[in-house]
Amino acid sequence: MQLKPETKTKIKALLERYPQRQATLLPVLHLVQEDFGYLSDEVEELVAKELDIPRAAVSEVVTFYTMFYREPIGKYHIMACHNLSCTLMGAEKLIQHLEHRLGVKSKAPLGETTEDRRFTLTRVECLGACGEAPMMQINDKYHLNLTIEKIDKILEELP
Amino acid sequence: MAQETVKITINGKEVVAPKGTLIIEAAAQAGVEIPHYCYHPHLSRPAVCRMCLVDVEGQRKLQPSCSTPVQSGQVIRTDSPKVQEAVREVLEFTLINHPLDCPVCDQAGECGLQNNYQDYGLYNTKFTLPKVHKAKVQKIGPTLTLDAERCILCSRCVRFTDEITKTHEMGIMQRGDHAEIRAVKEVNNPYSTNLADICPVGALTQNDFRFKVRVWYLKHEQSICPGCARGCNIVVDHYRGEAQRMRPRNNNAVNQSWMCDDGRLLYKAIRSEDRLNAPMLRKDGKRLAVTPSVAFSEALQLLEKHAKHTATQGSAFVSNEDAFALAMLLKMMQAPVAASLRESPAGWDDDALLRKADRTPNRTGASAFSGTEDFAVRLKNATLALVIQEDALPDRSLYPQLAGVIYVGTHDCPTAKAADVVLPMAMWAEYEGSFTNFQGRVQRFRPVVAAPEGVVPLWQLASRWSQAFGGKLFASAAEVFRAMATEHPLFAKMTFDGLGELGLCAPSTEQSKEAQA
Ligand code: SF4
Ligand code: SF4
Ligand code: FES
Ligand code: FES
Repeated sequence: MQLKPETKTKIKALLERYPQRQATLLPVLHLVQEDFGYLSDEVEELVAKELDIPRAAVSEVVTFYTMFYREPIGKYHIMACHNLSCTLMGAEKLIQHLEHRLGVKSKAPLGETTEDRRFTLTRVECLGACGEAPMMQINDKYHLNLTIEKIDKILEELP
Repeated sequence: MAQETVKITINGKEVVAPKGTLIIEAAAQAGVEIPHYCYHPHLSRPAVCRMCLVDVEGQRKLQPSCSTPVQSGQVIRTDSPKVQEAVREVLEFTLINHPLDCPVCDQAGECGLQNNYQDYGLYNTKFTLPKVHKAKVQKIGPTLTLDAERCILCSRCVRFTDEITKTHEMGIMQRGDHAEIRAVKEVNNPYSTNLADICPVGALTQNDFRFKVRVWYLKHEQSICPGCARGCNIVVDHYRGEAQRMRPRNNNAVNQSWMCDDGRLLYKAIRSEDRLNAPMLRKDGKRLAVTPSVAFSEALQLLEKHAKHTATQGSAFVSNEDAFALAMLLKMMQAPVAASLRESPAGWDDDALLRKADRTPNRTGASAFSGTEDFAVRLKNATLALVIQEDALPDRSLYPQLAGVIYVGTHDCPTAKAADVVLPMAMWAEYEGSFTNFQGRVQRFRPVVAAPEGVVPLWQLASRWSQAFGGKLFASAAEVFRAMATEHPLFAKMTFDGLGELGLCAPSTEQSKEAQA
């Protein structure tokens, strides 16, 4: 297993931007996660080698942040907010509906993935869109003012 | 060089400390102990455990004494109600997810949590939720066991492997109440056991010592590791007459607070199977055990008969006093001085931390009392061989003119097997004496356990034999040392008691070594 040449080039550019090699870790991990989908032990080793920092320092950061995945996840990562505003606006019902529809359990910091590896259903804390609660995020996109019908439509329209 | 000092007040007592000293250190020097977990004098100071908070007059918030330097006129309290409450609360937090398995924890009795809880504990826990559980009993390397649940996240082990060994095995994974100490690879660096020493709780324990003895039964003796020319300062813990473990003792000039893994196991040689426990004579190719006095006089007869024609092999494994008393004996016998010291057994190279390629503890001292000629050369014209500790004459048939071989040593070896008289001698842990390390530092070791019945150190044997030649009988190691200090510049102006806990360097030696370095 190897890092992609394009990724290596990007890492080089990042290294110039920061005073210390270790400081590039966050952007580098995001890049690499995009390439591999998740950060396995092997990938962590690759990153450590590329940046010339201890493997432990990479693992510490990867395990600290929930947005770095230590295992493969589905094509669509549904992050359903279950914090205060969304809960007041009925998030629990929506999450139950999602669980039922997809046949998986929602969990934090990383939920279950459907057998066809299309969806992962994770519970997350406030994503800062309380004004349009209840809401969820799918991959990079926010979906606001949700209802059961709206959710069904969104999922059906996904490519 | 005059050092700038500042005056501060700690708990109402005026204290003078060098500028830049940390409050925690200034307090310790003044006899005030401040509770702490993450602070370690030889590691960086992240101030993460918050146990060391103190009240500095004029500062609204409590200050971490492990990372706050003293400042002139500071008025510090470590015992105010505010401080005590803070420490109690920190401890309460630290213990929220702690398994409290003291009854089955091998750290019990020397645990930072137990000790501080005695003084600051809340005793009635307010926490009723289920605890977060973490991985227990992980063998993270040949020498260590990790119980992540007991870890208080002080990060000392992470800093040791980052800063001292630079092997980077340890890391703190996850975050919040799930934060967990983990080894990302096998911990098998040559200094790994120090992790068990610096871990303030029962998270990291040493495989060799786990569940051997409850620590409150242990007695302690200060000593010196005999494993190489470094001469790490150590404490030997013992129980019922047996050494149970060795651990490092602070000496900034020699080993800071560390020792190596191989050194740590050397106590095992005291009771090893090949240990020579009783004197022996060889008659008709067979070895017979005899009483110490019989062996002593047999050897003496040989020494008297061959006196001038004795070839002697000394050893860099014996103490300064041993080497000196041996030299005195040879002088009285009018025999040539001991042959040059043998090379160190191979094993490792010098490394950047402590280990020296020279695996003998006293080459500097012993070479002061030996010659430069090879033992093999000496043997050619000798009729008697006197071999100390070394396996220097495994094949005596090479020297047909040899009428006798005397072996004095701690363990059996081919030379001992071929000797006419074998006299066991006491090991470093069984008597008192001094070694001179590679820096020229003369350091004292003390008796920890009893030698096998009738077995005495070399200096006693040598000095008793030398009486027969009109030599002086030394009554104690201190007396040998006194005589030695007048005879050799390496020990000039030193006294046995003056060596203290940290040893002394003849000024010339330390300086010259440092200049070379
Ligand atoms: S294992 Fe011990 S030394 Fe390491 S962080 Fe935990 S408590 Fe500190
Ligand atoms: S470095 Fe040498 S003296 Fe120190 S513990 Fe290891 S063997 Fe003993
Ligand atoms: S609580 Fe859901 S977005 Fe703020
Ligand atoms: S000892 Fe000062 S914060 Fe840990």
